[in-house]
Amino acid sequence: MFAASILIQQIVYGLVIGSSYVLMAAGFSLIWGIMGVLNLAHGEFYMLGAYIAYYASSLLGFNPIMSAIVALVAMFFFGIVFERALLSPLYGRKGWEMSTVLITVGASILIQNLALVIFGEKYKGLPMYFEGELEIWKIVLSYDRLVVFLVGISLIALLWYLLKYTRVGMAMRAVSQNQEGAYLTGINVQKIFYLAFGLSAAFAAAGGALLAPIYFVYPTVGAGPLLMAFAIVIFGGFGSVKGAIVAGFLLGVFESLVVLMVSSAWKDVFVFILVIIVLTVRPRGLFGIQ
Amino acid sequence: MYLLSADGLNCGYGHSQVLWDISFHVEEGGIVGIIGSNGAGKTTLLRTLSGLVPAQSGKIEFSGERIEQLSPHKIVERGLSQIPEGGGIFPYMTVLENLKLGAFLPWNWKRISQNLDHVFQLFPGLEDRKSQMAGTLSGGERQMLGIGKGLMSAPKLLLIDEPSSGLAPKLVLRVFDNIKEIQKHNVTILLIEQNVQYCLNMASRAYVLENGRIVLEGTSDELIGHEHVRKAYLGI
Amino acid sequence: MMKGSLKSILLLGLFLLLSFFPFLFPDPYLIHLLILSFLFSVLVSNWNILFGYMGIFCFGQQAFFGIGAYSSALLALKLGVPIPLSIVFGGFVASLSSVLIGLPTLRLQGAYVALVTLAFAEVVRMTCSNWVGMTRGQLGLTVPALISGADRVGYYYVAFLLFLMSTMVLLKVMRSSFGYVTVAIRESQEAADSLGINVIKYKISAFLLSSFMSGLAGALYAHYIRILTPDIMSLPLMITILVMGMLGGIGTLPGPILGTFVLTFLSEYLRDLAQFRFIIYGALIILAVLFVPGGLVSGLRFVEKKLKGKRFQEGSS
Repeated sequence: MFAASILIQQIVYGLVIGSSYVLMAAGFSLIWGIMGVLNLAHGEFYMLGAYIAYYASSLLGFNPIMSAIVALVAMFFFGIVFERALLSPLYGRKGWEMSTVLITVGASILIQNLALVIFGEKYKGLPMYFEGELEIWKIVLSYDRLVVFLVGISLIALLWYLLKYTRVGMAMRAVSQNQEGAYLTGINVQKIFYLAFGLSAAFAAAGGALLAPIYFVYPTVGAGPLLMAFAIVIFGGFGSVKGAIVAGFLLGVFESLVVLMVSSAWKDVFVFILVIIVLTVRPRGLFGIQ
Repeated sequence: MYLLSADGLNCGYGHSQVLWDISFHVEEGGIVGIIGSNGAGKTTLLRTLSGLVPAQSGKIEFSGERIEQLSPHKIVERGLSQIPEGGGIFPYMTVLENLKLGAFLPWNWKRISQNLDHVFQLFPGLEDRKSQMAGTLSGGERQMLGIGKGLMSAPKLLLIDEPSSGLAPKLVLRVFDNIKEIQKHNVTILLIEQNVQYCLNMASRAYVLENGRIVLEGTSDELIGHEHVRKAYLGI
Repeated sequence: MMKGSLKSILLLGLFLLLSFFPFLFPDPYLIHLLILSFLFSVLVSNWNILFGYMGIFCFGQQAFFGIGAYSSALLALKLGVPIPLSIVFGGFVASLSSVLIGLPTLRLQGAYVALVTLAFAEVVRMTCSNWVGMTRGQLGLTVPALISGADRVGYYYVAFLLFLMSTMVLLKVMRSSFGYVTVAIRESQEAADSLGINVIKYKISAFLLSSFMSGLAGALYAHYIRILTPDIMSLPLMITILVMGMLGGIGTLPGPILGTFVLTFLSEYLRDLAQFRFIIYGALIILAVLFVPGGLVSGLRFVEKKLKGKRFQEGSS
């Protein structure tokens, strides 16, 4: 039906997008595993990262890697403030799961519409930074996309290393497995909460910043990635970062192929249907803990 | 001055109170026991002492400092550690990682390899299984890991919650030997137990907790000979 | 005894006021706002059964509204079904669809349910949007009127009737043992299960009822506004439902009604600040969660308690 090279081309595109999706999803999964919080404002972190990249690039002339780093650092602190101001007051309360969901919904609406008013509703585009492209065996990959992929993978590797080998990362894993046990080990669980949240915001923003030149930047740009993050986390298993990584690339490729074989308008529908099927057949996802 | 003392402690969850007017003390060095059957409030007491649950009223003093308002990690920082029932382990991490986490506090983290050697000496079984997932350990092994983890935090006082629960008698003896061994290394121990015989064997002094109140106090010899204890707990 | 009769008098007065409103205040604009309030409070109240009472994170209520609307409109337009009948059918179709949504979510918890219901609503919306042959997509359908003539009064009474019916049904259902069970399920599904409660049966029943009413409201809305586009079941509607519920107080019966009326009138007066409308909604939600989680209803109950307290003091001296 399609020439092999076209298929492989789409798969490669899927992997590129997938790397950013993984950044979104890993953070989302981390928060869920460690704090049990469903952050529906996660898409807005992505969106803010995209806008930071836009302004860093157009006003300050930063290259995509620099922009991503700026977004990463800025949104890390934003995430900490967000968690302390909006989430930590809710933890002791009865029915806090619903309260946290509701407050993140409120924050999402607030931030999205503030962005609408401040930045305007026009779609903003970024020109390609790196000229040129890579060509191997009829597969074409622009340098811009290559950078997205490489930076994405580096960040993922960084996260993996952080979680597996550093003291803070081990503490995060401990909190997600046995919160009381973590307290009794002398871990300051509240601090882990806001650090993890800051991390998840930073990574989502990096995803947004990296994809800014490829897709347009607009106030509601975070909605798609949020639903995708949700889908990835369900597919890979809530609370499993490994699952988020595998599922992120898989779904990125899946989406890419759907765009090729059906149409761009229906891609969300197909992803949703896939997720619903997975949920019915294997509710824990690929690597789910819960 | 006592290492740990509680005075008029009232503990509970929200509107339901579980413990009334608890007062006791633990001197440095040695083992003190608290005996109570299920539902007496033992675990609530431990959770309150470690700061997991706020005390409703009353005082807790550790090394001369009031700790009842402190958050749990600060209490661990001051040298009061707990081994909860089941060991308080992290099931999806290896034995080694669990032990390392025991030494989470910064000053312990630096001396981590020394502490590890020490723990492995005490529990060679743990060294054998160091790459195994903690969740796959048997009950006895988990208890060992819990104690090892507790030791890694180089505590002054160790609260141990029902170390014998779910274990066969032979294993229980092993566990208690280990606890005695720890005590020799300058760690004071507060032992919470359902099993009166085990408890009074280990401890020099003990309290009896019933329905949320301390009803008896004394040396182990006194308590073993006490009529109420013999009737209610030893079935004599 | 005293507080009971004061409340009853107020409610009776309110009922009489609403019953004769179009004759007392024949302002078409106000009547329009009330019609919208009636229809939306049916929607929000029924959503509240799932979300507030049962603890099911349903983020797809807008789909029931839209399915009711489209079913009724299409039945009337394409098959010539008489409109009162098509409206009822609209409710049934919405109810049927709730089985589709309900099944995957029955054994799932919180987060999963949120996504599945959201996904479902989006799939329905996108289908209506893309299936141009049937629904004319974004161009929309022109829906035949329920009551011919430009007079709103007829619609007012139909909407009022639906509102009354929905409120009565919900009152009866939630005050019965069904109501206790739903709260039990919200508090702890496992506990409810272990007590022998057939949680699945209750969830399905709740979905069926909730979606039927929402579908009726949607159908009526379609035949009133007479223009129907897929945007009727978009995310902003779900957000509006959420804000209305939260503002009034989820998990109570009067809460959603109060919240809907207040917000409908408020947003009309805030119309000039159109862009800021959703900013205010977002801020309202955050403030409500942080400081007044029970919404207006809890605020009113607080006031009620204070007043009662005063009366006791005066009485005893």
